[in-house]
Amino acid sequence: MSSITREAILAWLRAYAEVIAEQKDFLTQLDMAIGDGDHGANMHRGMQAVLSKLNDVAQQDIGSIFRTVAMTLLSTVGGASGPLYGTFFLQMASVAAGKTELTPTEFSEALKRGIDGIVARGKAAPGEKTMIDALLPAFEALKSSLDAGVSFAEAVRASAAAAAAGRDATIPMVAKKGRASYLGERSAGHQDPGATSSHLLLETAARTLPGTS
Amino acid sequence: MVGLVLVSHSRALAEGVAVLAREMGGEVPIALAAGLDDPPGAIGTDALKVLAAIEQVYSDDGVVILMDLGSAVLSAETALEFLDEDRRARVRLCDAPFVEGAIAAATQARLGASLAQVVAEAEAAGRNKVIQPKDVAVSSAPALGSGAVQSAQFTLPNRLGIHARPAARIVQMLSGLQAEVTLRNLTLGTGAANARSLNALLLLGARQGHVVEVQAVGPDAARALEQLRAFFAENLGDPPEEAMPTAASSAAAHVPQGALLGVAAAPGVAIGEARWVRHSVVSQELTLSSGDAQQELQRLQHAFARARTRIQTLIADTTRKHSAHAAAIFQAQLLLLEEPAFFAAAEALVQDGASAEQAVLRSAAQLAQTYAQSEDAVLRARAADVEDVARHVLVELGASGATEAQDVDSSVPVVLCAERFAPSEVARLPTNVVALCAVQDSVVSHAAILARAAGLPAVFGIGEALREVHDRQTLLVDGEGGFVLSDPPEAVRLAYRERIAEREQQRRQAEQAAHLPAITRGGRRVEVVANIGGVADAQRALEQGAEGVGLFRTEFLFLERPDPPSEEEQYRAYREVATLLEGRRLVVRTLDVGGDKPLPWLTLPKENNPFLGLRGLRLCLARPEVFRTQLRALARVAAEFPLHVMFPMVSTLDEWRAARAMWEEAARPLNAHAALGIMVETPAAALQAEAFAREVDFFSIGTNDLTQYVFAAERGNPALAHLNDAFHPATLELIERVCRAAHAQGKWVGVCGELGADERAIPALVAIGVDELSVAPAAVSRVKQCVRALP
Repeated sequence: MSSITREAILAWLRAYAEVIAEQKDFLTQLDMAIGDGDHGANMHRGMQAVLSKLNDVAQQDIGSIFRTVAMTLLSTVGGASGPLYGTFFLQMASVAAGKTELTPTEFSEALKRGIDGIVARGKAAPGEKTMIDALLPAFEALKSSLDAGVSFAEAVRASAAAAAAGRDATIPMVAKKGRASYLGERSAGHQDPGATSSHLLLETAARTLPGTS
Repeated sequence: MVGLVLVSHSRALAEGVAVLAREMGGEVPIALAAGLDDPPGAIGTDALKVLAAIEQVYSDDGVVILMDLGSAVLSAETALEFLDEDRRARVRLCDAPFVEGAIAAATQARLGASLAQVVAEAEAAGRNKVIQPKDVAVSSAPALGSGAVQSAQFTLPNRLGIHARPAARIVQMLSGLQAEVTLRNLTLGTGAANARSLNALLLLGARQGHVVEVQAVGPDAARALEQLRAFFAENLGDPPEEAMPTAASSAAAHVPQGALLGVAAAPGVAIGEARWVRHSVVSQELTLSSGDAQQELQRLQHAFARARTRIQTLIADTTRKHSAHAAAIFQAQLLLLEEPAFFAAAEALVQDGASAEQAVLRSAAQLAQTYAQSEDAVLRARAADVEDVARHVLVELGASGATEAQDVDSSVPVVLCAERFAPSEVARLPTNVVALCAVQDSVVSHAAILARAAGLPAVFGIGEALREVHDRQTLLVDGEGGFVLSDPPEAVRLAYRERIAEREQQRRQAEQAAHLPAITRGGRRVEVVANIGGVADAQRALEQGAEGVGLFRTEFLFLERPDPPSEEEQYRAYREVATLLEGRRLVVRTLDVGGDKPLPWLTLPKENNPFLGLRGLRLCLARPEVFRTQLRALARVAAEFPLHVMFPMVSTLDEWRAARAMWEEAARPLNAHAALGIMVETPAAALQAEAFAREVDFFSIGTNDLTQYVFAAERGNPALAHLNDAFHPATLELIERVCRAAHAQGKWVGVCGELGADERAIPALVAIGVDELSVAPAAVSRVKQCVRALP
């Protein structure tokens, strides 16, 4: 069984920062339709801050790396995605504490904890047009793939694909949480920016985490 | 005190809300977690900032977090996870609306409410934001603004209930408060009356024993209720001893044959020549309008404005000649004059073509009739005030300036007779008037109150029989028996003259005993003055023969209220006492509080030893803004009246000099001067008496505190009672030392502690050189007597 190295984790986070930088205008566009139009800028600010700290913690355990990401996002993102992604990585850190590499199962468990953290924090249920709608299918696909005995690389690709499907499923949904919920029915027809940035997180994971192995 | 954390996306919003909250919350710790630092001013929330803010205001009393929306809530929740369990249990996220919640929470926190209370009140504040439906019927009560309605019920303790003076006081009391207040008389079912309208209050007909419900709403609602509660508890400002003579008491007296019976309106007996006062203002009704409504309106406006000045002069004169209590009658008249409905009615009549004179007469008659038709004697008596006020206006419109009462010739003692007396008439009678008789009028009229204040015997309500009395007839007036006798037989006349002479002598003796100076048999004069807490004490002290005030405790103004008194409020309170004292010595002690007497609006660090802590002058110097306000108020009084200012709890020259410098800073712009002194309570002050004596104008020794500090024995500790010995040579030696040092520099020393009233201590205190004893008002005459017995 291949394991997920610290270097792979660092590559994932750097790649995510890069993707967010590329996609920030798109995210902002999505958010302007149904929110306050700051998701792209907020995430970009947060991930750039993360990027600047990664080198300092590159030699530490994965738990510390996740924790650093969490604390940085908490205090730099500004919008709701700050405490939500912050909580996500904080919970991931609790599984990864003291480890310099993770087994696919451990990663899956970390992902599960992170998603549970977001659910607890945002009090969102599936179908309410949030990050959860991308993340939950992503976790389920990862877990079932791993349970079926496929490689981690394949499982995480399946997970990313599920996240993409989940993201697309948010388009017809009516928002029940956050600023978008103020629009009520008028929020339908727009892709949720949070679900979009969540999909990007899994999409980059599929590209980076399996590593060179 | 519970702390507040404001979490917002916007720094500007949080800062604005913090300003609003601090207006209500004073010293409540408030921390902000709002906006992002990078880039500066960016919109957003930061969980770690929330965490830092919590830590900043955290105490075991707890922290309430208010949030604007969305990520503010998420960030705050996230922040809580970083707290340890103990702290997390004392931090509450409050789902109240940001602005309303913050203000309500700050208000409650300042009042010392528990964490749960603060949260509950903040959440309730949100629920109260209900915009009133537009179709609510408009009653005579003012529209109640937003916010919780607070209400309380009171049973009126004083005989006359809400009569003109208390009504005027209520209107004044509420003038500075942001609250809509209404009163209902639950006993009679009258009201609701707007508490800002004198007439509405009077028409409640609220009397002794009636239950009055007060409702208040607005930011100052609680304060309004608190002040009214205090006012009702103080007998609505009526002196308890002002027992009203009644018609029933008249019947019991021995009435000579042929006497005309009335009611005893003011005690005393007198014999004099009758003079009738006939009021002629009715002829003004004949004044025709100039035909130019605009011109008449202008005359009306000017006359109202000048009448205002007339009444203000009466207030000042009556305060000076009699008392603030009697002058309040004219305060009430002033409010009557300013009653918008009165002027509006006159204005409408002028618009309809009436002359200014006709308009005043008719609108006053209308108002007077409302009162006259009342079943209540007190309200009926108010009709005379309305007429009196109208008279002031008419005089300004060109009616004869003097009332006939002022024209009586002054060669003989005169008994004035009238249909009824106007209060303003009684206030300025020539000195040869010895008694008053009236056809109508009652004991509860303001004329009667003024007669009592002036010591003039009066019999009112005699009826038509009085009209038989003609000018220059001799009249005997018995203000206790409640009758008058025209042309009394020689025997009765002699008996009364004797009685009058006897009365006079008794009165003089009684007065002299109380008001003579206290001089020892050896010829040394000791001034006996009073310790007071307010104007009522000062009044009592003067009646008891106090030669002044040796200690005016100003704390009463500062206690039991959510915020410090304004300069204006303090000025008025100090000035009221200074006015009453008419130039007698007044020593005002600056704010003397500390850990042992905490104030809700003054957060003080917890002290293990408050008596050895930040109190008295130490506190004032530590909180200069509070001190400055008080000094400015005192400086304004010092600019008008002689004043002594005394600083409590001084232990070093530096403290005294700092206080003196702050006084000078306050006094210089007003060119105000006051004698400055210190209280000697610490052994340090007593031991440095020589140095202090070169700089201070006087000393006053607080023996209670001095003793406790000399013996290091807390006053309130029963186990140490034996050490609380002000007679101990150790204490007396310090007092003597202060006297020696003071006298060497030509300064005086007073004692304002309990020791000064202790008959066992007085001989020693006087012997070691104390110049002044300042004691409780009730003890003044006793202490004087005690001094007179000394060798």
